[in-house]
Amino acid sequence: MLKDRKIAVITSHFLEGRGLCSLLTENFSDIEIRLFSSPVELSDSESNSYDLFLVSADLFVIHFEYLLPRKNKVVVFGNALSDEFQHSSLPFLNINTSEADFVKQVDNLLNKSISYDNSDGLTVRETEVLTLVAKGLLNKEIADQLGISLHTVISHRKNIASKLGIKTVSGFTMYAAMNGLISLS
Amino acid sequence: MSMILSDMKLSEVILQHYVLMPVIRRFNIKLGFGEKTIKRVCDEYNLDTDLFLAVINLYIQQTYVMEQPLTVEQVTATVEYLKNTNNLIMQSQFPNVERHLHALMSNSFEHNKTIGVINNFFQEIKSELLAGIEYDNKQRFPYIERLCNDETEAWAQKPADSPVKEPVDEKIFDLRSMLMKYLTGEADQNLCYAVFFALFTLENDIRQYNKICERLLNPAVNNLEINAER
Repeated sequence: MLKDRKIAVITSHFLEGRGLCSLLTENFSDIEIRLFSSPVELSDSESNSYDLFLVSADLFVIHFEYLLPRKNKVVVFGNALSDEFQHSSLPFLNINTSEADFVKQVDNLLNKSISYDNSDGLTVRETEVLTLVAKGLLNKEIADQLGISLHTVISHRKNIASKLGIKTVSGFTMYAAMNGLISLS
Repeated sequence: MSMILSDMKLSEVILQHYVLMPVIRRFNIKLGFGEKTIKRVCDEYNLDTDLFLAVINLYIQQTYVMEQPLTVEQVTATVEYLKNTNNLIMQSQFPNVERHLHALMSNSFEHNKTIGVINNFFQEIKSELLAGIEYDNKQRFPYIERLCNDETEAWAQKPADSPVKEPVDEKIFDLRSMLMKYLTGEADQNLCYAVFFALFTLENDIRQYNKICERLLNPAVNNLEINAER
């Protein structure tokens, strides 16, 4: 499954990066791995040649706009505390675990991410956010209601808009009404 | 895409860019212009050739920039053109969408919920657009006309901002894509296409309207305001 794949590991912590690289090399053969401290180091042509980006959660937040268009190649890693990513549509690797479990996670994810397609399917959390946007709640109110940060709400909204190709706030309401998430009264 | 110039034949330009048909209509040019050049047609209809070229080039090219800012006469003519656009939207484009939508609703075998949703949102977009048109006709355009006539203190009567907050063309885009993606149940496909294209034309015309305001009218109005304040 992993034959001849090119993987970019992107993290600003060199120790984490070096560790991840050697762990991957030890456990998976026939893959090519390179370490970057930021996605901006990758030129466009270079980035297109990679099959997978393993990005640390903090860098993902900062370089959201760069990574989102490549979202079907992105896997975010971090500890369980950055749990907003566990609810996002992106594959997530929890690093706060044993070595054996981590390797298993990577194995599962890599196998899955090969067939990871561009379907419009929203995650549960995204659907929740969408419904609240459609009901007319403000970002702050949505954040309070779901117990997530304002930033996470915004990033969910961006994700939803990009998945569904929606341009306006009314578009969210239209989608919700067309798909029975809210009723028009 | 190459620039359209005054010595080109109007008929050839329109044949190549059929999207310009509504523009011709809004300038009140009647069909039957034969082999005449753009310059000659404009002269016959007493239209400003440069303005005419600016509007059609802006229509077919994303990046078109007019070399000279609009003159006072051209500002007046642009306002006339935009008024015509608004009238056509109200008198023919809204009824066009609605005729097809209503037929679609009454033709569907059972009560189709998603068509009802589309209709509701169209009504919402329509009333928002009407509010925008009313604002333009009653406040913005009279203000611009006063500026053009060099009335004293005209700049001091600048109206408040437009009530339209979100770009209406993008809302129509969203509505169109809802119709395409999430329509469920039985629906007459012919009528669906008709609604889709009627929405598409409306969206396109509104986008052009906004482009004319942003690129041609607003910069000229800003200049007029600066001169008036002096």
